[in-house]
Amino acid sequence: MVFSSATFIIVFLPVTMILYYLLGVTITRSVTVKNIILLIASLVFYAWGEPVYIILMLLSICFNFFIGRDMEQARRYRNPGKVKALFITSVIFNIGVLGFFKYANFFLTNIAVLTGLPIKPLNLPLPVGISFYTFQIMSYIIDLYNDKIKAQRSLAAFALYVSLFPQLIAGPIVKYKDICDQLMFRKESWVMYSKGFNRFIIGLSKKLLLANTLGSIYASVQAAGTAEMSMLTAWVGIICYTMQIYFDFSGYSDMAIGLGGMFGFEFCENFNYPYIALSVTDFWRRWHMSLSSWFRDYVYIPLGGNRCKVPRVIFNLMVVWLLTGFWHGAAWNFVFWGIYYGVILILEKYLLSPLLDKLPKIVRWLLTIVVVMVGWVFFSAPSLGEAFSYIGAMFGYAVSVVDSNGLFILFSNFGLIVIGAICSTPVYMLLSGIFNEKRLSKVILAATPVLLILCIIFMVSETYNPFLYFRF
Amino acid sequence: MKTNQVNRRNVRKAPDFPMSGSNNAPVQFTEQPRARKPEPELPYKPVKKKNRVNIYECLSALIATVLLFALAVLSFTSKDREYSENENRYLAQKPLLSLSSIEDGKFMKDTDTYLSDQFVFRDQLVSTRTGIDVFFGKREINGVYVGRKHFLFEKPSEYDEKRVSKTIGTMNAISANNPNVRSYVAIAPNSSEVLKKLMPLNAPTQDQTEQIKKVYSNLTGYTGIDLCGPLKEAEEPETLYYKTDHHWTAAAVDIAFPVIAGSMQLNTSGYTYENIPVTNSFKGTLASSSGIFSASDTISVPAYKPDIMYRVTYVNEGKTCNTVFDESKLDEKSKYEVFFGGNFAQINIEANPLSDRVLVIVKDSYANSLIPLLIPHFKKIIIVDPRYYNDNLQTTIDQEEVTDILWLYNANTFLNDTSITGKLSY
Repeated sequence: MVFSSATFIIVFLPVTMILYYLLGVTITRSVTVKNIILLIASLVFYAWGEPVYIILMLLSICFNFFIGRDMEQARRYRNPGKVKALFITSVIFNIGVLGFFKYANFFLTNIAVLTGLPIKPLNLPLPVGISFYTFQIMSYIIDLYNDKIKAQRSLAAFALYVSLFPQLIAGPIVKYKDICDQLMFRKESWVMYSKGFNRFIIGLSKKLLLANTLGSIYASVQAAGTAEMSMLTAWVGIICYTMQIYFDFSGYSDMAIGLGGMFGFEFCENFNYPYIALSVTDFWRRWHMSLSSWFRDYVYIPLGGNRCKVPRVIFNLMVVWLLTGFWHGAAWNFVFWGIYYGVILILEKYLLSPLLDKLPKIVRWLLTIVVVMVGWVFFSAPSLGEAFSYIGAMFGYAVSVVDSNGLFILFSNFGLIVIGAICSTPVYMLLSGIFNEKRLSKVILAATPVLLILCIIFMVSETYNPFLYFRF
Repeated sequence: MKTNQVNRRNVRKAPDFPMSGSNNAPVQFTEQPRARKPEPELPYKPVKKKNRVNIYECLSALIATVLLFALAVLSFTSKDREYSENENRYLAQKPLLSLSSIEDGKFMKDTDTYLSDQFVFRDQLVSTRTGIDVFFGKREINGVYVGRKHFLFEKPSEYDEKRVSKTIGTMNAISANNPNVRSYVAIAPNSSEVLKKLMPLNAPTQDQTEQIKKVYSNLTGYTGIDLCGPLKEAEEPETLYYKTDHHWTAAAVDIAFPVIAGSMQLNTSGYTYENIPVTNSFKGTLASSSGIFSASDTISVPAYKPDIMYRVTYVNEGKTCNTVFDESKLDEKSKYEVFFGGNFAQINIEANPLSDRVLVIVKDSYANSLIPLLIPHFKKIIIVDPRYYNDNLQTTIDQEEVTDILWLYNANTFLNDTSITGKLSY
């Protein structure tokens, strides 16, 4: 199920809310009941889109739950060998499952191309959210191995941690250590609920009002092909995609954090206005923070982090970025995208930063955003070759500068692009500097209900599907 | 279970990436920035600051919650609609619950469609959306250009060399096979050409006059009839096309017919006709695709004075009647189908027995409103729509002793057409 569907908004959410607050919070006041209600809701939520793969998720949950318990027991009996063996088993299992369902196809096709062997790709559909929940499970197992947390005793609570519907499909990647206490004790309040619901509506607006509309512009640019593209068209297209992916992803995070708040959870933040970053390093401190922090804690630091000699640090960084790229998708353009950022970050770290610091802010921002946008070309293009020809078009290789199609797309969507650009910046903060906070909150009072109505308008109209009987 | 209970406030940590790992290791992911300025804070600070009660925030969430529940209740209590006029389709109905439909996900998909199809105020929500889009400057909605003066435009087709030359090859072969048959071709420009001034600023256009010229120059054995000139020079060009539909109007046919008749050397002097408006609430395909229903159009049909008699046969359907107009279509959405009741593979009209000419018209739907005017001038008219036609055109030409062939198309359909090549065996 997706958040931006009628099913979620008018059935799933109201029903879950009533059950949770009536049965869980008011009548029984038991965290077990609350957890079970949320768990059932989460499983329905997942099964709605993946009626078969839910078995895989449940299997993964049970396996890791019992491994975790055994690990703790083995530690109590001072049996480090067994702890290690269990840990390795679990890591192999988790990476194996992720590797099989997400990457098997990629490897098989590449092996087939390289060796010329007639290997048939498996063509397994990717289980929704597997990248996210596998990483969540691994944060539990690794922290448990490092003795930073206690094993979860309740299967329901552990299953809820993995499958909690707000963050199940698109993050943020919540680490077990950050949320384990909330699983066993949390207090819902009207303040948390209202902050959460407002946040959810803001996220929903980002998704429906901005991301989807901007996305359709990029789709139409991309569909036209790079052959007849002008520089202007290419830039308008990638600017729209740049905003689309931010609003889409951060919108999902906002919705997750908001929904979490409505049910008494506090998740970590995932985005911090990435597009105002003044360096690529800064950008990655602000973009998908929960993923970066996962890789930092569970890959970079175990490899030695930056406490080693320079070549080793460079190696560590490249490993992290290769994996980051690969995590986003099983295709060469994602691998390339990861390497691209790895190289740029290393350059920035060791060579460019003293130079860049001398430049005026606006130039630094411009350089950063262009690097990021070029990165998104690799991310969004269906193949590496098409990515390069799109970048060629952006920088005027064999195309005209301006054409009427580009102007039309720009003017036709100018309002939307301006709104998107404003919303990518911390404009709220600016406003609260100008107006006092009290007056601003009066605006919010009107804003969220209006935004909700707008969201519903956009959500329903997206399903507008006229039957064109006589195109002829 | 209680063992894990710790005072949360002490345990929870701010999202502190990337300054320090929560294991307090001095290792950093990336270099620590020199004297970082305070970063702009997030609009909601759920962690660090104490949750302050903000009455407005609470109130707005309350209103939104009430709204949400009201919508849910309304959606479930309002009566399901069966058919959507605007979308011209049957809406999804309550899906059936069964184990197998859950297993393959069909039940879930159907429920999603059902809930959005039956969403309360669906039509109003959609039209509000297009209103918002247009207000914010959007001029292309679902492939329809939103022009000035309520005109909606179809995207003009490009001249695809490969596709068009195939069509032309087929047409040339037909004319070469039938040297004794007079062959005419008339390609009408679309509204995007004639009403270029009303198109949205910078909207991609095509020079259809040039496109049509190019087609004509590649055809051999044909008399190309120029409709672009007369239509573009018309005194009131805005009456020539429907605002909400991609077809041309009776006014355009009034201009095109004499031009075609002149080229075909028809003697029209003995016949007069009058256009009779039959509906003024026509909202055509372009309105449907874009979801903009603000304007409506008038459809007029020609009536000869004095009346003429003829017999119409729908060949594949085995239906005969004595009129080319299907008035029942005026009560439906697709009102342009008042002409012939739509598009059919082959329609034969036995018309004026005094004439010695037999005409084959190969056409698209633009022709439907012009053909009624041709009736009194031919002994028999055979109307072929290649998109549905699967027989042998050459056999028909031979058997019926055809004297004239007219290809009557609009530019967009002609340039996009693949059925002329694909289906007409000769």
